[in-house]
Amino acid sequence: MNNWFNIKRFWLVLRHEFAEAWPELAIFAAVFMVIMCWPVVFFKGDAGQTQVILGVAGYGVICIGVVLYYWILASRVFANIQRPERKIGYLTLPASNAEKFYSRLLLYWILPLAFGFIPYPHTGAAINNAWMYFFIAVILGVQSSLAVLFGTIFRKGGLLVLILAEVVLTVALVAYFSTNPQAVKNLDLAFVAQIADYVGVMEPDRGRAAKLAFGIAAVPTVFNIGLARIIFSRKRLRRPLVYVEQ
Amino acid sequence: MVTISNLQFSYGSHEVFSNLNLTFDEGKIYGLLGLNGAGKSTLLYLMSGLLFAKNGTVEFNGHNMSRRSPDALANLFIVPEEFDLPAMTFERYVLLNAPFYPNFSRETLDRCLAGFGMTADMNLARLSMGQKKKAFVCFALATNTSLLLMDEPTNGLDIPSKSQFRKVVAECMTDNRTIIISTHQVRDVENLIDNVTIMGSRQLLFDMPVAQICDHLTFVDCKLGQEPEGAIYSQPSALGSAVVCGRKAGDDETTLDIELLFNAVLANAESVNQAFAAK
Repeated sequence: MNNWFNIKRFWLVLRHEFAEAWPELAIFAAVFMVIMCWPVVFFKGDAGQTQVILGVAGYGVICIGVVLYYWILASRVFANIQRPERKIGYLTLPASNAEKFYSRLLLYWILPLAFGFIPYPHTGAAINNAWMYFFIAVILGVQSSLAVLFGTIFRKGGLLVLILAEVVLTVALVAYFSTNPQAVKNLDLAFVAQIADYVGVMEPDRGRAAKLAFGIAAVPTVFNIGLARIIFSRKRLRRPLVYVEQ
Repeated sequence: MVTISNLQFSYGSHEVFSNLNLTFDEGKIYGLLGLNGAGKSTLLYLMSGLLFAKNGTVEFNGHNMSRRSPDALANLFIVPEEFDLPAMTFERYVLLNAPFYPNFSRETLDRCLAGFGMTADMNLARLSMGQKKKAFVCFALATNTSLLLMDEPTNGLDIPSKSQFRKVVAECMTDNRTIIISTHQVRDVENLIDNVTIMGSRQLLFDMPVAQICDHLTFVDCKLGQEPEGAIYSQPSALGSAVVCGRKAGDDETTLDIELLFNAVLANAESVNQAFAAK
């Protein structure tokens, strides 16, 4: 039998993982529904000025909520190798490293990303906006793939490291732009307009912008997942379990 | 079956094995004994691909275990000292896990469960640690893997369960199977094992089949101060002294006292091993 990837064995691993993970995945699905649906409940009615402001704020909250949601979800991909008691059973399960890796990735990353945004085209809002493509692809794809990667390296601290890295990056950017007025000048409207013009975001046909956004996002995402896959295949116990005298 | 060649392994700067060579043959139950921290569990984890050797190789049926290939893992099962079972019924657990093991036998599972006075319709979330261990051992035996590794399997078992454990393991033993039981509770595996392997600090101290041990050594109790000449090791006992001696021609064969042998090897492995070379 193929020792790298076998569909029958992959299905067995997927079934095995789902049987243990479904209560957690159900909670995540419920949380996602709450994040996506609460503005609909809160901001229905006439679109007055206050409502519009609140609606924009709500939209921002959804964006931040969704990003955080996918970070947390992605950082749970390898939750079952965080504790040695679970790790032993999981790593010695008769399946290849690839089958184990992709089954967890499918349940905790690929399917939630896919299902989370299937409703969007039907709303007619997001899919027509190239920047929304960019938001989904870059923010969710790249950043949550970093959570997957950090999850394989830092065990329980994967999410924490990602948040820390984001905070450090933000502080560094703010510090850089606040102390370099020239850098701010370089970011003038003409410069932004040039990029917008290049990717065709101002044009009615936004396909080019979307493709570029996906292209930009795909490279680091594939790199992060590939690296996580290599690290996962080298996973081992860190130390023996604690001896307990009976 | 399992061949360990020139194994070198360390946790950071703490060296556990240096140049360890060892083989485990099929059709035998091995008792892997040693003090806490001697590296018994580490050796089991190296054999199951959970740890990687710094140097040297660990091969099981020709598979390099650090690769954790599915073919090798389908023929290997490890019962760790501490483990997690999911919150589901045992039947469901079996349904999800048994398909990974081509030689899994439902009949063996039911027989083992009956041996422990258990049934398959139990909820794993409601079991005590000892009951979980018994259920897990039953599943491990039912997988019929050619290599079964058990790390302190009797920890957490009550006294009747310990003897049931020995009975159940003995019943499931076959000629093409290897069972390695790592324990520091040497009495728990008495009358069960075919081979005694004793680990010391960073090295193998003793590795001998039980039949050969009984052929070369005698284990006797005598009054204090009346230890026979040429005793290899003695320790105080209820009757006076418990003594390990080299068996001479004409001496009756004695029952293996595994605890006494263990203490003798830890005290002076060289003298014990010399008794085998001398005869």
